[in-house]
Amino acid sequence: MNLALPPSAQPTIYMTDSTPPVTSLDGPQLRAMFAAATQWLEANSEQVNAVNVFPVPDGDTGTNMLLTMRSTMGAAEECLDEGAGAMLAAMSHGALMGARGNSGVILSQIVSGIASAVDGAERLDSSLLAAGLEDASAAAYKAVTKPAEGTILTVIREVSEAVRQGSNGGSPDVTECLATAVETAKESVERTPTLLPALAEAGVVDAGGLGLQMLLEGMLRHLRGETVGSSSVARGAIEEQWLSMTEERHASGEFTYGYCTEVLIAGDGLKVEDLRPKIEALGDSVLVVGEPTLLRVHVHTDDPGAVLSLGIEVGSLQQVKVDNISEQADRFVEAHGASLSREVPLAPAPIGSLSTVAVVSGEGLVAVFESVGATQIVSGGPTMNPSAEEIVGAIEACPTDDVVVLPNNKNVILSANQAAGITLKRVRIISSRSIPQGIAAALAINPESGFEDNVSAMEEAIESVTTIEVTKAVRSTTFGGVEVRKGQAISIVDDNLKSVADDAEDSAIQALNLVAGDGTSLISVYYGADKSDEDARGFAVVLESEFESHEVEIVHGGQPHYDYIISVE
Amino acid sequence: MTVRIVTDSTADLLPETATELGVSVVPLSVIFGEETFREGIDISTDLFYEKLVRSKQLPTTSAPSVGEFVEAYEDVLKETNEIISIHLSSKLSVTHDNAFQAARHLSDAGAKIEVFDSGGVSLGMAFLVRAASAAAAQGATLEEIRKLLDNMVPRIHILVVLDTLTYLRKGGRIGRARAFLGSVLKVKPLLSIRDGEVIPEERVRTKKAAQDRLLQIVTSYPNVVEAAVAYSTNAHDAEALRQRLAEALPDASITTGRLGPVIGVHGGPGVLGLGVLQGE
Repeated sequence: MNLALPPSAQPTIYMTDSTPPVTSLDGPQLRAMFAAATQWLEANSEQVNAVNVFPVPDGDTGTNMLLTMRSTMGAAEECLDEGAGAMLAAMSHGALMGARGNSGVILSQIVSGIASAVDGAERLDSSLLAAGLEDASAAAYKAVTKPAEGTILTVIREVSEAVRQGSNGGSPDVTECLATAVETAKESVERTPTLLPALAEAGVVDAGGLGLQMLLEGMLRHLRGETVGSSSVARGAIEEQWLSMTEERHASGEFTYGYCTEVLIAGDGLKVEDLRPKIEALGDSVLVVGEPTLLRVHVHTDDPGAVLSLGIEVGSLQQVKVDNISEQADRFVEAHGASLSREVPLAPAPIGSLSTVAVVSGEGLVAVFESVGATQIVSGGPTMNPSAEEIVGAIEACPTDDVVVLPNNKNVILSANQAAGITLKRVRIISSRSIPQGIAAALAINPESGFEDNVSAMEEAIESVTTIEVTKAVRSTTFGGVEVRKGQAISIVDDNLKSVADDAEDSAIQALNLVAGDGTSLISVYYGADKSDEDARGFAVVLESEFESHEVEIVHGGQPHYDYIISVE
Repeated sequence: MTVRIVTDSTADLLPETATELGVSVVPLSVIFGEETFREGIDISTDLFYEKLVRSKQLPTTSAPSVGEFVEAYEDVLKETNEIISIHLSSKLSVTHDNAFQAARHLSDAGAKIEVFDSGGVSLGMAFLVRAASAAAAQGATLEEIRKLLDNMVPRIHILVVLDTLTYLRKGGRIGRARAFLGSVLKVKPLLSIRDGEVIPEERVRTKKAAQDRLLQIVTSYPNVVEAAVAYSTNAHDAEALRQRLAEALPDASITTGRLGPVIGVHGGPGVLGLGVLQGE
């Protein structure tokens, strides 16, 4: 995956007052426009994240859409064909694979929709743009099982309708079309609270819609020659993503080569596609990403010196890190020794001929899923929402052709569906919207049953648990009649915000009182990264006395953001 | 000549029942360290479970030897020369094979001893023993009884919910249920015994879920005529299940019994078992 933003995305400064109107765009020009859109979205992504209806720490619509766009641009970078259709096709592929979160998936369908209308054309003009936006709108609605108005869907639909109307009148240029699009998008986004009551209650507009508005704005600004933000990509976000990508390589546990080598190469006109094959010849677990002025290289190799020499040939070495992998592996085993030396053997994976892919964040939760038979784990990544591509990777890595996927988060279900559409294996996405639902589903797998029977059993099992997720509000808001102040502990019961308190334990107990009724007998508490073993044990004691007729189980989850994830059954 | 029935102690028949049915029971043994106890003779079930939870070392079990079978058969052969000997699954124990050896040895001398592999244990075996005993009392021949039992085996279903797989694993009988090992979470495995083997069915998290599932599974079998609930240490759970079964299967005969020491070694405390017989 290539994070590069081409030099053509740099702000263009025109000497004249008015920028000549653009009547059509070829491949590279489209790429530049989309790159500008990505930059503008990035400059505004925090604003988009901030309007998430749920005031939860992982409500990252802006980041998800941005990462989806980065993947889109990465594919655009590698497209050598100068035709508009070819460029959009490449971007569509990048978007579909890199889609994260529901908003990312819908965005990828929008890009894909535009690409399908422009297929084969050398240049994109206003009539193709209008057709593209219409196809985009149709594709977006089709991607969602229960389309709701007052979301990004309304925005893309109204934009496509306005652009179509505008182009029926005369023959506007592309700049005018985009101006119409942006104006319509703004109005549409402003109206979303009137269509979706939860938005009105929280006093926000729809985040996905706002993200789309930002992208369209970025495109317009580019065509008008206005700035879209600084040209250097935010280091922080790239760092995070780099770390998670390299962590994934290391977590895959295959250590064929001796040294983990990472280099930062500074230079001019550096090209990923020139350097990558040379690095690939030296080892495995290869990552080569960056911009023409700065490339990052990661490789597992027996010859770190060769990697450094290659770097020196094309530029100057900024940072060099070489680690002895077998030592790293030893440290890993040491750190995890306790669980590895358990007397009881881990369940063999897969169970029968069925493999299970689970999306999980938190090392304790990963251990739980592996212990109940998950074949492959997909880490949530920086936004707890993996890309479609990452899910595809996990599916392909399973040893069998029958695979079930546990998204364990409602914001992952769409990208999981997208992944299922990409692979050739027989895949079913189980509709698990939380970790407890995912665990219940995994436990329901019968090694002796057939594929369909297991899928039914898993879906049924989801009904048998109630989930409570306890976290801190990142924003003050009102939801479902409940007033929340930023920083308070909130409990979300099966996707509904149900209780607020000043601390997590009180909030959890309030929520438990709502759902731990007569038909239930087991409360399982998975405690997060911010809670110590002691905190958890103390909480368990309190729960045991508050809920005397229940069994209370405490498990180290280690998950980010959520102090407690609780299942009641 | 009336056919006589021989079985082993894993049928978990009460002594009175065995006498009533005219069935001879050959005991297996449980071994705690240096001490060997014959099931049903040297140790009571209550005492056994007390020792089980208090023992630091897990007890083991052993099958009756060929010699013990020869003795048992010779005893019965004083009254008949036709015996049918019904035993627990040959895949779970060498009991059947030892009985078979003994039978062969005695067959040379003119006795007719059919050794029958129940493919099950405890509750499942008991259905067969009762049926054989009833048929013999009505004068059925050895051949007829054998056919009757063959016909019954596919109509018998055995389900168990364990508290933990530890005992099954340490006793070496876990078989395919090993697929359920290793869970970080507390889960109760629901297993069946089919074709003589322990088969993993599903995992449940709570006792209530276990009971619900057992009930669901049992009521999915058409024409259940008999159901037997068994427990190792949790009489209360067994009674609760029995009541629910009685409601769900008003036409079936429902009994409750206790799982004996030999089963106890391999299942552990907290086992709830269910044996079901479908009509023809």
